[in-house]
Amino acid sequence: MQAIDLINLGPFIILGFGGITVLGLGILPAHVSTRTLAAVTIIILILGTVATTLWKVPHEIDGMLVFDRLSRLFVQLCMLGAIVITILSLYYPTTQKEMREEYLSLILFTTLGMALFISSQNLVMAFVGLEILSVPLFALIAWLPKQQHAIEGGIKYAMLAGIAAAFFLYGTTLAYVNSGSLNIAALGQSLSDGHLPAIAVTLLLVGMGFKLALVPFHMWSPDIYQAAPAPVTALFASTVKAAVLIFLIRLLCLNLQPVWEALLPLLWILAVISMFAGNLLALLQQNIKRLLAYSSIAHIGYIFVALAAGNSLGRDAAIYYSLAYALMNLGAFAVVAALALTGKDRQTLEDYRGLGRQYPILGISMAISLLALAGLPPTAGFVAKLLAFGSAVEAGHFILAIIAVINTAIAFYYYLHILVIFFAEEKEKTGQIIAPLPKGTLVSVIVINSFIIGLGIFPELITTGFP
Amino acid sequence: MMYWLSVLIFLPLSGALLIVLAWHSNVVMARRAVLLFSVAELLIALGLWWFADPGSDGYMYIVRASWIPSMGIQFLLGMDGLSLLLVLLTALLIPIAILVSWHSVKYHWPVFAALLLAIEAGIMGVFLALDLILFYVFWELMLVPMYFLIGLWGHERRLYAAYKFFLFTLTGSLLMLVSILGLYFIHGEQTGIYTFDYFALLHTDLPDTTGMWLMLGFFAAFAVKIPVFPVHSWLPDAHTEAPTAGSIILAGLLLKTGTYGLLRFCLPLFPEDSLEFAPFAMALGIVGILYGAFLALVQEDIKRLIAYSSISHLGFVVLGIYAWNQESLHGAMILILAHGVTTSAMFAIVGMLEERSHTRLLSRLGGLLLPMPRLGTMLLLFTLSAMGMPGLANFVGEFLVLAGVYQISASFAIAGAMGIVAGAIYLLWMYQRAMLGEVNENPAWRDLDLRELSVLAILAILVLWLGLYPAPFLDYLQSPTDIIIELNTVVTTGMEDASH
Repeated sequence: MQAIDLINLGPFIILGFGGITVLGLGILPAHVSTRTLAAVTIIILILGTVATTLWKVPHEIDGMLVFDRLSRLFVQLCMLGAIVITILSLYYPTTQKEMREEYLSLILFTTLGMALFISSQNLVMAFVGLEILSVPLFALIAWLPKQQHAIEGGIKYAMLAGIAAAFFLYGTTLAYVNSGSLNIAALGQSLSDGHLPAIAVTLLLVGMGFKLALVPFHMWSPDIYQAAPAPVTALFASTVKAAVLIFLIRLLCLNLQPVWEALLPLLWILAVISMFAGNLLALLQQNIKRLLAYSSIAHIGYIFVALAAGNSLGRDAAIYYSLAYALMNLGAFAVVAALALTGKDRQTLEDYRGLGRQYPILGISMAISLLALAGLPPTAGFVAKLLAFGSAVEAGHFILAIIAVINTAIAFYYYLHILVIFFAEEKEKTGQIIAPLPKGTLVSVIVINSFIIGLGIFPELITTGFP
Repeated sequence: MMYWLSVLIFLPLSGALLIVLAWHSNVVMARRAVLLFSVAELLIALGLWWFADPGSDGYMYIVRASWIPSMGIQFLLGMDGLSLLLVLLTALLIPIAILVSWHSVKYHWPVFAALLLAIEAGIMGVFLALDLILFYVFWELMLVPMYFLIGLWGHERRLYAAYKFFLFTLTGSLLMLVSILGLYFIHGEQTGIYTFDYFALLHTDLPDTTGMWLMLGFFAAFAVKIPVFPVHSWLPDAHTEAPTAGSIILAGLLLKTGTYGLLRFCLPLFPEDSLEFAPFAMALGIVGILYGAFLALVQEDIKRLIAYSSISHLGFVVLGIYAWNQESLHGAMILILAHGVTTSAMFAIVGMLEERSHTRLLSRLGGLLLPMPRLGTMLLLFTLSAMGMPGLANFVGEFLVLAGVYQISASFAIAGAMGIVAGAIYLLWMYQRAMLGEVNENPAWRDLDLRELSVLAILAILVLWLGLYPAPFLDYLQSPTDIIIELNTVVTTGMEDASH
C-alpha cells in the first residue's frame, strides 16, 4: 500500500467512517438535533467530493479499484445526489420526524456502495459494492412502515435484489471458469472462443437489468417507486441507476469489446422492448410516481440504443446519458418530494393541478426537468438523445433510430400532460395559505436544473477525455 | 456588424427572462417592457436591412463561433436576402401580436409576454441558423412556448389543439433529426470531416436511395409545418383555438418556417432527389390548394375559414417552390411574405371582432359595415388581397407562381387557377355574411380605436407596397433564387451527360 493508494481511497474512507460517525452521534448522552445530524452528513459528503479531486488518475489498486475520470465524475455525481437527498429528506414532511442517525448513515453507506461499484475493476469487488448499495435501500424503502405498501415495497425490493445478486454471482463464476480471473481487464485479455464469455456477461447483465428496471425485469419498479418515500425514490431512481449503468459500460464497452460486439443483437432487442413498454405503459398512467417509473424504463431503453450501436460514440453517448438521466430524474423527484403533503405524497396527477402557478420556482424546475426528460433543447436530455440516436445512425441502425424517435414523440405526450396540469388553473380557490418552501429545497432544485441546462449548452465538459 | 445577428436571437431571449424574473406580477411594466424589446428588435432588423447590400452574392452577414467542436457543431448564423426579409417579417409581426393582445389577454400578461419573446427568439434562430443542429435546436425551441400559448390562453378546446399541434410537428422534426444525423455521418465517412456546417454539407455525394430517404426526413418536418395536404389536420384546430396573437404567429411566421426550410435545406442539400420528388410535391401542393379552398367554402367559424384558406395559399407556395424556375421561386417567396402580412391582418381583425361580439360564427355576425366602417374597410382590403386582387400583395405572388408553373405543366397551372377562383368565392361570401346584410342588433358595437387602427394601417401599407412595387423585395430575393436555380441546371445537365 502506497501513499497514493491511500489518497485515492480517501473518499471511500471518509464515507465509511462518516457513516459510522453519524451512527455514533446517536449514543451521545446529549440530544443531537436532526438539523445537526443532517449538517454533519452533508459535510461528510462534501469532504468526500473534495477528496475525489485529489485523486491521481489514472490509477489502479491491486486490480480491485480503478480511478479514472469516469469514476471520478460519477462518484462526484453520487455524492451530489446524496447531498440533495439529505436536504430533501430533512424537509420532507413525512420523514422529518423519523429521520435520525440511522437514516442518514444508511444514505452514506449506500453512497459508499455506489462509489465502490462505479470504480470497481474486479467482479467480486463489484458484487461487494452492489450489496453495500442495495441493503441500505431495503430499509430506506420501508422506512415509514405505517405507510401503505411500504413493507411490501421493501420486501419486494429485497427479494428482487436477492435474485439479481444470484444472477450476478452466477455470471461471475462463469467468467471465472472462462478465464481464471475476476479482474475484468484480465477477463478481456483472455477471452476464449466459445459462447461462455457471452453467457457469463449476459447473466451479469440480467443481474444489473433488475437494478435498472430493464424490460423484462421491470415489474417491480412502479410499485416500489410508489411505495417508497419520495426522497428515497429520488435516490434509487437517479444515482443508483447511474452507478449500475457505469459499471455496465465499464465492463462491456471498456474491457470486453468482443463480448459487447457479440451481444449487440440482444442489446438491440432490449432497447426496443424497453422503449415501447416504458412509453406505452406511461401513456395512460395517472399516478405521477408510477408514470416517472415507466418513463425511466423507457430511458433505459434509449441508453441501450446507444449501447447497441457498438461504437465509441455509443459508449460516450451512454456515459453522457447516464449522467443526464440521473440529473433529470433527481430534478423531477425533488419537486415531487418538495410538494409532498404531511403524511403522504401527492399521488395522482390531479393533485398537482395548478401547483406550478402557486410555486413558480418549483413549476419552472419541473418544466425544465420534464422537458429535459422529453429531450428538448437546450437541455442535457436533448444532447443525450442526440448522441444516442447519432451513434445508432453511425452504426447503420436506421430502423432503431426511427423507433427511438417515434418513442420520443410518444413520450412527449405524457410529459406535456403533466406540465399542463401543473400550470392549469386550480379547480377552486381553496383559500389555503401557501406555505413558503424551505430554502434548502429551493437551492438544491435550482442547482440540479442549472446542471441540466448547463450540460445541455456545454456538453463538452463531459464528453471529452474518456478513454 | 456581424454580431448583430446574435443580438437578434439573444435580445428577445433575455427580454423574456427579464420579464419573468423582474415583473412577473406587474402587468403595466411587463407590457411596456415587452413592447420596448420587440420594437428594439424591429429597429435592429431594419438597421440590418439598411446596411445590407441587395446586389451582394449570397450571404450578407455571417457569424461563426465554435460550440461543440468534438462533434463539429458550430454556432453558425448567416443572413441572405431570403432570411433578411423573413427576419423583417418576424420582427414586425411580433410587436403587432403584442399590440393586438393589449387588452384581449385577460390574465398572466407578463408570462404571456415572455412566451411571445421566447417564440420570437426561436423563429429568428430558425431563419438565421446555418448549422444543422443549431437549426434543429431553434426549430424545437419555438415549439414549446407556442404550445403553452395555445394550451393556456386558447379557447374552449385548447388542450386538444395544443397536443395535436405539438405531436404533429414534433414527429416531423424528429424524423428530420434522424436525417440530419444520417447526412452528417455520410458526409463524415466520405470526407473525414464530421461537421453539421450547412456549407460543407451542401456538396455531399449521396447514394441514390439513401439520399431520397434523407430528403424525405427533412420534407416530413417541413411538410407538417407548412402544412402540406395529408399532414395538415393540426392547423385548423391550432389556429381556431389559439389566442389572436397565437394565430398571428402561427399563420404569419410558423408556417413560413416550413417553406423557408424547403428553400434553405431540402432543395439545396438534396437537389437530385428533390428534382425527382418535385412532381409529387407539386401534386401535393395542388391537392392542398383545392382541398383547403373547398373546405373553406363550408366553414361557419371565421377563424377556421381563414385557417383553411392558409392551407390553400401555402399550397401555392409549395407548388411554386417545386416548379423550380425563376418566376415560380420569386412568386413563392413573395407569396410567403404576402400571406404572412395579409393573414396576420385578417386574424387580427377577427380577434377584434371577437372581443366585441364574443363569437366567431358567421351566422351570428352580419351587417357590421354600418356600425363599424373602419373595421369593415380594413377587412375588405385584406380580403381582396387574400383573393389575389391585382395591385395587392398576394396577386404578385400567385401570378408569378402560376406563370412559372405554366412553363412546367399547363394542367397544374389550370388546377392552381381553380384554387384562386374558389378563393374568391369563399372570401367574398365570408365578407358578405359578416359585414353586409341585416344589421346585427347588438347595440354596443364600437369601431376601431387608435391602437387597433394603427396596427392595421401598418399592415395595409405593407400589403399595398408589396402589391404595387415589389421590386425592392425582389432585388433581395434574386441571389437566393439564382442559387437554387443553378442547382436545378447542374442536376439536369448532369443527368443528360450521364444518359449520353
